[in-house]
Amino acid sequence: MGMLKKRKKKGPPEISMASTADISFLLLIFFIVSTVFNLEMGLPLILPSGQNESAAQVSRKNVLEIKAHSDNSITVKGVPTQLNDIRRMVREAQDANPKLIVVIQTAPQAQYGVMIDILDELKMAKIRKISIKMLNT
Amino acid sequence: MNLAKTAKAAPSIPTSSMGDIVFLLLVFFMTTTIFKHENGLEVTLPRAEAAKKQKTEQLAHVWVDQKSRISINDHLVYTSDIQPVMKARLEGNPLMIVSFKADNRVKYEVMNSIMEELKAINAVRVVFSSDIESGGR
Repeated sequence: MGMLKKRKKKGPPEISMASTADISFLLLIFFIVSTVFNLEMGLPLILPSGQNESAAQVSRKNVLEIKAHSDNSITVKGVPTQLNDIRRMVREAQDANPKLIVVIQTAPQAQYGVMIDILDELKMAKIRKISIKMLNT
Repeated sequence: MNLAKTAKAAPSIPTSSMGDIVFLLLVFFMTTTIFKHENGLEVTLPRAEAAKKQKTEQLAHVWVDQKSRISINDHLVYTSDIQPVMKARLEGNPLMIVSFKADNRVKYEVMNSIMEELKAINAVRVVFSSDIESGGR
């Protein structure tokens, strides 16, 4: 009986605050690990709008044609070319003619990735005027 | 001597505020965490060296997987559905940029038909989403 009385006298039990830091650390680590900062990488391009298509008349000599064929091979001005050579070639062409427009013509059956590879090379060569269209065979 | 006084002080880092700091960080991570809300399709993005960081707020995603299925807002759509969906989005946000999350093995004709749809409604700002080039191909 004596023991019981002693316990009751102690009053309401206190919640230990000592572990709050540990708990919040745990939560913090969870959120750090699960946070995905929404990063998205990509190649921006502005398509020609449908309305003023007739305005896009350019001189033939300012155009450099790069074709991606259905077997995923690449030709520049009709000459079979490796992907690695494109950057140098378009750079030289642009130095020779600053008004240069590069047209990527991709065959319907070619892979999209090939077109992106070419586009990437053009972007690396700092070509500004890029046009993409489908190759009509 | 004053000098003796300074030598006495044993520096100790106060740890009492640690819990508050941790809480602050916790709140930061809790508020910035965005759990992935769009599932899209399973795609292997093309790789590109020239890829730039994109502002995610303006992006509207179009997913295209290897089997040429097109997904917008987690719904599979036909090519003919793209116009109304994207038009509604473009009206909500005139600065919208369409981001192509397309598999690099997709046939180009699929991409071309999507781009034609976008041109028709004047959604001309596009991004070809890609992974960062890591070393050699």
